[in-house]
Amino acid sequence: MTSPEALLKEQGFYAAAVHGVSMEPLLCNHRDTVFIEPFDTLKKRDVVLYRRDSGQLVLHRLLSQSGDTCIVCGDNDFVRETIRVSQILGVMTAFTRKGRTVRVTSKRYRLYSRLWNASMPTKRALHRIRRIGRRFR
Amino acid sequence: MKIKQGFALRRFADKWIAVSCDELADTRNVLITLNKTAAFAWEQLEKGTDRAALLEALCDRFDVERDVASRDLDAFLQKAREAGILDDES
Repeated sequence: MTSPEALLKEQGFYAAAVHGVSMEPLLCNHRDTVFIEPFDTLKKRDVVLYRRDSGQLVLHRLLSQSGDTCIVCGDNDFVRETIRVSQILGVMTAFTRKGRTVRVTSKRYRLYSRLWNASMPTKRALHRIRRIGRRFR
Repeated sequence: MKIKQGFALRRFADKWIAVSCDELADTRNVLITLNKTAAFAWEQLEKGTDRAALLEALCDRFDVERDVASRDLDAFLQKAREAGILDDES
């Protein structure tokens, strides 16, 4: 089977079904498909496909970049991950959600990603409160 | 003939792409790029059809000579069988 790295190099794109729940509610496990293309520059809120040092392929959102270091996090996650730019294979430029194709340049998607980004501190704080609450049960 | 469960046709801009989805995608990652004609054949095969009906539908839909369509269709069906996405029994 040809690797995503080779496909991106040879045909200039890669597409695959979504595995896992870390990008919910935007992308649902087994249902949705992502379209990945090579990148020149990265932008905050880009959804990037990267390979962990363990070999695992992951699709998460870019929170920030400083030189070669990127901070990424899934839309449904609270744990941030630090990766290198060299680990990033490509950027999601479109996806299908419930069978409908959405380009990341669409107004609705851009609004979603902005709102998601803005709500991150609140979601993280609520997550911490819930965790603390569980300790006292 | 029918496309097996677990494969879906997706359109991204000008590209038609067939990918594995559902639980199948966990074990088998299939990615096939199709042209417009093959995408049309795929859509017919999703509903279930036979070779003769599919050839007829292709000739009706596209301005193509029957011999050329027949040859291209066989090549497409062969590739689909090799990729394990075609169920000949259905």
